[in-house]
Amino acid sequence: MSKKEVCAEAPTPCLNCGKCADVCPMHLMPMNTAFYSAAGDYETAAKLGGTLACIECGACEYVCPARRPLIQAIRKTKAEMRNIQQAKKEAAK
Amino acid sequence: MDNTILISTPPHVKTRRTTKKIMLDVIIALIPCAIMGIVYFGVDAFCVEITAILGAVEGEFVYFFIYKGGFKKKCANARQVCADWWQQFDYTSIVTGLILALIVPSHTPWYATLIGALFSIIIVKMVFGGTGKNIVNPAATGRVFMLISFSVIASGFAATTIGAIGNGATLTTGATNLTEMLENGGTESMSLVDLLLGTGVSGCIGETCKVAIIVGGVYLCIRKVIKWWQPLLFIGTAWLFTLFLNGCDPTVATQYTLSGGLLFGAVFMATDYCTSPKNLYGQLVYYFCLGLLTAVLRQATHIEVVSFVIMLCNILTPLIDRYIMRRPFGYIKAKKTFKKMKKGKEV
Repeated sequence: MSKKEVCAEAPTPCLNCGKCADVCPMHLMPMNTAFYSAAGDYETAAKLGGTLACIECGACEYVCPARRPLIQAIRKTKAEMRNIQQAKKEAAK
Repeated sequence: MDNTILISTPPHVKTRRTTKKIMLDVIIALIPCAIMGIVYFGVDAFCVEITAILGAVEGEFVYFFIYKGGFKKKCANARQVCADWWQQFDYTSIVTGLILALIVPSHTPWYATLIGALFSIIIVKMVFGGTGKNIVNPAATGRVFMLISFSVIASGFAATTIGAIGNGATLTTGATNLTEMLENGGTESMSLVDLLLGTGVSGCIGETCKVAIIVGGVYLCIRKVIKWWQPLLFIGTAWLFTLFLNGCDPTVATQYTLSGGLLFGAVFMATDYCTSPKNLYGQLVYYFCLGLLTAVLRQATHIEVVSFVIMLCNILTPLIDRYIMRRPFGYIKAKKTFKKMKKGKEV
């Protein structure tokens, strides 16, 4: 994609507008995921943001006026949750 | 040709709406109220507006300068710091300053407006983390602060007689017609057209001309900054409960609803993004609570409570967000699983 087509703006602070939650087709709350995963608390991110039910459609990041990298945060949370659950299964054995 | 390759996760195309553009829309929607305020209340109103906006912007700039220490280094590098500040300047402080100016009376002294604007920007917004992190509406809190600190604001509002300034209108001070109605039990009444146009109504700068507020609200709904049902739910609930509390008289209820800061607060202050819940069901509860509390508290204490009620419900917002969650789409049989997820147990 050329430079004109891509939106390459830097992220600005989250406006807390809730447009991502409005537009999510799975009725989740992506901004919770973004907040808690930025702080490193992936379990709360998955619990409050419902990340494990996310279908990664990208609508939240499309509509975000602050250009937050939401899909990155969601994918990272999913990966970390997989690791955590894997570690729990290993520990249970 | 620039050969930089940018690697990022999808989506790569984003909506053209940014924070700055949303705030610009809000400023444009506030301009009719600001202009009608100047038309009705004269040069004083203009001075209040300019002082508030400049105070707010200056407060944000000074905070940006002092934040995170390194004051001497920043002084030496002042030009770079200014350029940095301008680059990250979203117009939220202009919006806060303008809203604050529109909810105070026109004879507010300049120092009171300045202190109020600095308080609302620095203490309510910046200290908590800047844009999007305030827990209460900064303009409402600034107004409450000014009300408590400077008694000249609480006592008396200016009113205009019919006609714009320059056509022989006079400014008289006195209690607002809302206070009169509340204390006298609805005996004094104004015609609906007067209330809507704001002629002869005493109040704060932006609150009196309801038509300007409605125009601003419609503009915001068209530009999709707020949703059309949000202010309507607030105003409708307030109207309904005022009806119940005043013996089911629709004209009296309509007069109560159209007086005071209710319309302005409903359109511009209660719908503020970061202090209202993000869930659909949470928003329904929030606006309902706002309307109910406004009606009840206006009846119980005979003062203009909209700023206080907005602050109160803003404090309730994190609670509403935490406990009213929508279940993910398609989770019918797995409701128990989601409840377990919510409680943090193993899924």
